[in-house]
Amino acid sequence: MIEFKIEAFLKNRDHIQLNVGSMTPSPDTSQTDEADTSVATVFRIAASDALVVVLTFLVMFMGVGQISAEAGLSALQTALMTSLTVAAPAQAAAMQIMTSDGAVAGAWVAAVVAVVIINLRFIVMVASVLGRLPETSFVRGLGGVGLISASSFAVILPRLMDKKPPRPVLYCGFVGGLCSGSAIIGAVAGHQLAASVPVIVGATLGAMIPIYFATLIARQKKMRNLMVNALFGAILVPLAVPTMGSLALLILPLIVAALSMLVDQRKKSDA
Amino acid sequence: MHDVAFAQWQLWAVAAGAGLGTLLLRIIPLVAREKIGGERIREFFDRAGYGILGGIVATSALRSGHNLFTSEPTIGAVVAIACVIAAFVIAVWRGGTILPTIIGLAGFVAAGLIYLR
Repeated sequence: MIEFKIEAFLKNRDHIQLNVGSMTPSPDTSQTDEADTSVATVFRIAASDALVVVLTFLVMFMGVGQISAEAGLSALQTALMTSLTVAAPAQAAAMQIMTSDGAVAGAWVAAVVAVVIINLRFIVMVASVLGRLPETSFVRGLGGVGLISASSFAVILPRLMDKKPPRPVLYCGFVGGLCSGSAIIGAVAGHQLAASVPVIVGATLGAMIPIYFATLIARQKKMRNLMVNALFGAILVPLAVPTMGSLALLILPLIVAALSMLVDQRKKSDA
Repeated sequence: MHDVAFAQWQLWAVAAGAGLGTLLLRIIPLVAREKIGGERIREFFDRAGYGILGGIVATSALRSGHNLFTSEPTIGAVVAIACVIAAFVIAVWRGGTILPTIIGLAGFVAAGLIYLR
């Protein structure tokens, strides 16, 4: 009799735990006030983290808008390209190919290929972010990482590794969306106004990105392996850019990461 | 101005092709998530991600220095890197991101104003 009661209790406890467990991460709770607050909180965190990038993009993408206009793209075409690409160097390279002196009618294909090659690094960035996100559906995952750029990646990864925000997939989506939105505004403004900013303002906003990102890297100061990889990336990538171009930002960090993993593995096996 | 006038469909193809091509690159890890979900793979991508971050910091700092100190690119590079290192050291020492960024940026602006004067 006692055994039966214990068994029944355990079954009930499991049932209770299952119910609690299934309620906690349920997406259906988005209808409640509590979940609305959570969305607002996540947005606030994302906006706060992305503020520096947003400000910088507004100016940086003005230049992209200007050269897009020179290449013949309309404001709508510039907005479409910027919204999904969110990569000023890649877009600038594509426009340069289209406006170069020796350009032929087929140069548009070369421009698209150049953008894809320059943005190959996004594969590694998204893979790195995905490793820190909970399992989710393809559509939600796409909403989270579908607009990740180099700058939004630099904001997102330290945040996910440091103090993970509530609803991390939504957080990633907000950061990516805010960065993409500001890039569109900047590009369209540059396209329409042909505006140029004073040298000191442009350079200062340009310098905000590396200085801010350096402070984000510092968040992981206790993770020696990550610091070593960041240091080697900072030293090797600029040295290799003249010969390897933008691929240096993809290939060298992968090589350094692989080597550092091998070194650690050897140390462990020796120990 | 360039010599080639592209047809409208070619301009749309560039805008959509570049955008969708980049979107597809982001989808690749999403589709292959099962295969990259292990702890070792995650650690590898963390390290590669920080390597990329270091690369972005260094290359964009050098570019900013060159843009401001146009006739003295070496000095510009040294100033920009010094400001980045200062912000990093302050962030490691005191924590936070905003104050170290402001201090690093103030140093960069001050050096730029002295140079432009």
